[in-house]
Amino acid sequence: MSSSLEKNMLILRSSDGEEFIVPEVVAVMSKAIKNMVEDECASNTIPVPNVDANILAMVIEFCKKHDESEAEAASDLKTFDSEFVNRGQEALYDLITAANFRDVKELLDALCQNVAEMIKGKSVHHIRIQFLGYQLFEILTSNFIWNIWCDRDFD
Amino acid sequence: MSSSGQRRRRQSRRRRLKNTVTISSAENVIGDDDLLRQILIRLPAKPLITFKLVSKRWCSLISDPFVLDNWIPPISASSFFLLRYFSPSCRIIKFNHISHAGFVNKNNKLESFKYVDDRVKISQSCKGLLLCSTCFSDLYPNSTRYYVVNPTTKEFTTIPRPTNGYDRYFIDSINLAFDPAVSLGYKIVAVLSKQWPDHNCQIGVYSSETRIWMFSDASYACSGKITFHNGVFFNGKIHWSCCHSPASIYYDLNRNQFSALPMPICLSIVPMYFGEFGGRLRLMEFYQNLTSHFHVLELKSDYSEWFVKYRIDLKMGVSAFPEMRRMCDAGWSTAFVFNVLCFLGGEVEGDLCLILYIPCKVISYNFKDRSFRKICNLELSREDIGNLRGFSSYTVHPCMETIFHV
Repeated sequence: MSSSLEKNMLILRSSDGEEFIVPEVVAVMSKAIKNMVEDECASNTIPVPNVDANILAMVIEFCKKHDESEAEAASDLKTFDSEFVNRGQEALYDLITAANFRDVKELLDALCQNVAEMIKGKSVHHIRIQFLGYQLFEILTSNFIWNIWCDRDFD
Repeated sequence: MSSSGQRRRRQSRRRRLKNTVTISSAENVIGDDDLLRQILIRLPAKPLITFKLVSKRWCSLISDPFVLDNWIPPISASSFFLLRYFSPSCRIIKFNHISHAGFVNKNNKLESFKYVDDRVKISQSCKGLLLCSTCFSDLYPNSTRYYVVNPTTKEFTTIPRPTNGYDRYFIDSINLAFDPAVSLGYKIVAVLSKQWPDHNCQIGVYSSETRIWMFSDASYACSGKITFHNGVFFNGKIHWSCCHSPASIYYDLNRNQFSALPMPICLSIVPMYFGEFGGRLRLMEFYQNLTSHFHVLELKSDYSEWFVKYRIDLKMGVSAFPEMRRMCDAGWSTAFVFNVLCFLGGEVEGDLCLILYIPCKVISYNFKDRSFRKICNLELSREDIGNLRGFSSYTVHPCMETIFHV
């Protein structure tokens, strides 16, 4: 399969089996893939576990844009970044996980900036509910017990 | 390759899991210490301090040295303190704290630094930290106390007086030198002289790391009257403006020496604005109120000459704010009534504004779309306006929200 490809192309396979043909310069924006290429353990297809096709396509789109527009004005890239990261919650956090796992620094920076923008106006209560859902039970129960404790009759 | 049956099963499972996935992917990200740190360093100072209350883990991560060292500080000022006039018998010195959006503290329009001392005034502001001093220093110079304050975290520290053996020195100038891009420690630079003013002076440098003053002799050459109270620190240098002379001075901290700073013209009175924004020195001459336009001058980065950076035309604001214009001489001429307060925002962010005071209002002029907008209603007394005209660097102190320790 690799023989039919041009020399500087790589194939990335997502966790659900879809394959993407990507120029090597774009793929190595991920440090994890770069290391694999340098160690020559990436002769044909590179598996990208934990990242599904949908998210992988987005990551590739981001890397392509950043690779093409190196010479372009920084402000253009900035507007692209802010539009790119402006997605639904689910895709945003999946993208962060993917960017962190594949070590794509520019993408991770842009995404974390976006999360910071999103949460900076939120209340502490909102943050607790949004991000610490698994602790909610704990917080509720401890408050409940605390209320009982406070309302106790000490006679 | 997977059969169609397997794929269908997988898709239906994914659909079933979708709701739980939404929560857990956000939780996974926030649950990862490294990723949460990456998000925290990008938060502005105020929410970052508030979010210490989210949980024990968030609190410890926010207090983490990594977050403090890598936190991305704002580039430009977002608010300013305006000192209100006080009579010598006054016990409490009050300020208005105003941002783009109006008063910062909505309930309490007049603020004071109660947590430090009721009677402190701001001597200087630098990248979100304030150098404050207790008042009435002119009467009892030896009793002045100095503080470095972070108004966002309400942290403060007392700075010992710069005394080198004996106390008969005058403090010509005391300046805060802080640049988080270089170091998270600050320095305070005092210019001391035996008789005031003296070209042979002593330079005292106080470092937040050692907490002691170090003194050295220095001298400068300037024939004019240096406005020593308004030192402007950036790029490792403290700059002063000067009247009655074509050249002023700046002090280079790293080389420990004074050098000549060209002035755009030989000023006869203290300029309307002398300060830094966007890493460049800017100056606005004092204009007679009869002109409707004025210039913002910028010093080239090689300190060779000044050029006109912006031209501001007040006529465009008159339609929105007719109180800016006042007829005089029985309608023969018009005068513009305004005071320059400061610059907020930045060129990089595209929200650079000049903040002006016109009767009973604080307004902003946006350089990008050349629009005038009202910020808040504010009534200043005649004395306040007098202070703004003569000593705007005493009165107005731009500020930004930071988490830096003092």
